[in-house]
Amino acid sequence: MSKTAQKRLLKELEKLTKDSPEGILASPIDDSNLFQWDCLIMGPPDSCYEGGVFNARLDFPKDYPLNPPKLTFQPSILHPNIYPNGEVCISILHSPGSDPNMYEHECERWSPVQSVEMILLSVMSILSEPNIESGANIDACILWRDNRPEFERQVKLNLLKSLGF
Amino acid sequence: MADQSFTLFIILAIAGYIAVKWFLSNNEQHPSIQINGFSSQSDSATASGTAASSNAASRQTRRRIRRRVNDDMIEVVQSLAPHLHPEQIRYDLEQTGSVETTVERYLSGRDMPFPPDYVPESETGGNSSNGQNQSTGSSVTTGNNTNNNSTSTDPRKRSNIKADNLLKKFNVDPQEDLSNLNPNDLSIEERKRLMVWQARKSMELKVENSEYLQSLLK
Repeated sequence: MSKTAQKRLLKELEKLTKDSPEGILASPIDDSNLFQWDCLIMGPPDSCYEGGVFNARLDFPKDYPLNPPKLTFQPSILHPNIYPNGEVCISILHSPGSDPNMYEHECERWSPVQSVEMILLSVMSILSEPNIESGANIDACILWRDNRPEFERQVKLNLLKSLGF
Repeated sequence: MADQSFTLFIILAIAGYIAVKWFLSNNEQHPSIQINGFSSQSDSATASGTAASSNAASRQTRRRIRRRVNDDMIEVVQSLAPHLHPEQIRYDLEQTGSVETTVERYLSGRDMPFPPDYVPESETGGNSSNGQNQSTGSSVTTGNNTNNNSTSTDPRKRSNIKADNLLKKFNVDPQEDLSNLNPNDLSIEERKRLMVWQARKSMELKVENSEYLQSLLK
């Protein structure tokens, strides 16, 4: 099956294991299947997610790296760019080619030169700076814009619970 | 003499092959649905044209009863309609039997229903905690969601926002002391445990010093 994808994933895994960026850990859930990864992402400092640790799953397509993987937070978190079911909506995770809605430049979208590391770094950056213009969770967008203290309260509460408080 | 009849036989065989090909390609449907039982037959089509054509006919009647849908077809439609659930696509393909028709139906904005016996995997437990049910009643479409009809059936709108206990998930005991471990010596799994443990420890400190966080925990 998909030799290119496996080779490429192994290479990325090796690199991520050797020097992973601060606050990011990723590895396959099960050694026999390279196409499903389990990731831990630390909430970036100076954001309301600070101090938290978030668990996400990466599902790679068989034709990776031609097409982007899918990133899903499990469980989901309250964030304007994350769907209520946990799917992350950022331009780097969208299939290559131009956007039918003309929201994104081609260069922002997925291409084979991107990597798992780039994806996880972009996710950290949307955690610190949500992009309200292209929201995935409308209710979270509204709460973020109109009632920031309540938004932060809900995020902090979930964060505390997930650390066992 | 023998040579002549041999060339005649070759010519006839080629002509027969072309005739059979033409006959089968007259079937005006998308190639993807013909793939199923087709390729094996076309190889042997030169042998007996009549057998192949009767086979094609019987296959068509079979399809009318229950249309076969394979994963390739679903994948093709999925690439055009990324936010549809595979089950929605399968159900529609079973009705139309053709990728083209299904895509056309999707593009014309038709509602794509789930199969009647469809049970969503993550419905239980998803909407339970914290009163943060985000799923229903929102008629606003997102930037990437062009199909207005699908808002209520979009699986991405089902809320899974809740708190899982990471200490349990990664088997971390907050009483344990992991502070002297060096992450570079550890496997990824152990580094994950260490990360959760560190987050827990620093959060314990923060909670001690912050009245706001203490008030949240009450």
